Amino acid sequence: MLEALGDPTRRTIFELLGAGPRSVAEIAGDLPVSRPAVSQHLKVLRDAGLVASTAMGTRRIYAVDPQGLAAIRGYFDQFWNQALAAFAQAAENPPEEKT
Amino acid sequence: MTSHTTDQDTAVRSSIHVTATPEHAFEVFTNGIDRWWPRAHHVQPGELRQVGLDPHVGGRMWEENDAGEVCAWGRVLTWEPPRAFAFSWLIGPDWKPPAADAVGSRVTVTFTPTDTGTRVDLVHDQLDAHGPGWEGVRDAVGSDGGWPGSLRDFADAL
Repeated sequence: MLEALGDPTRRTIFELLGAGPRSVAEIAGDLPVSRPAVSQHLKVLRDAGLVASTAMGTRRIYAVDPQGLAAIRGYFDQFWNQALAAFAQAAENPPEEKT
Repeated sequence: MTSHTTDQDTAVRSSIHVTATPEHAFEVFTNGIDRWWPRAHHVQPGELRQVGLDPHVGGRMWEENDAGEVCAWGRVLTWEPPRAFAFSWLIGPDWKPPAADAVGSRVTVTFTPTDTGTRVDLVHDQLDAHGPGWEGVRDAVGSDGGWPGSLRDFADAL
């Protein structure tokens, strides 16, 4: 399930949706990614239970799945993945000189 | 290198191996938290100046912004250097300062010596404490642009 967040672009889309629901066009407008590519990423996120969509008129709006504990887990999984990598770097290297 | 298991619905696990002693890894993870904490992640307005903790059970997990304002966002639950460290996490996924009566999840970190260093295992569990879902978070965040300045930094860093 959380493998869906293994892709950096999908992580970014997921974080973007964490800040509020958006259409495909709005997501594509915020990122250097084409609309078809955004749609493809959203399909993977939706299949993973991380993102849900609703129709609003002719548009389809995507949001972090409000029912989804998977979404919260996905969020924190991503957060700690990033944080632990930074921690390992800090633990294996001397502190930077404060300038 | 990190790995994850997904067998529990309310927990996230992540592990990493570092070429350092457990003592050093524990020290960097706790008292050195400001060296590795993702800078885009903070709960107060403004820029993050410092993240820190009070090194004893019951101590605060705190952050300070560039205006000098300090906000406690968790409490130290376990302080057993160099093997175990745990703290409560009172921040929702919206990254707002926690309410006084906020319910929290829990982060437990263990440090296990290996032949070449230390294995660090992190479990963030009781995630269901953050509510039934993201609806409240979404409403709270949607009005003022969401995570403070973090998305752009995040995207730039990828």
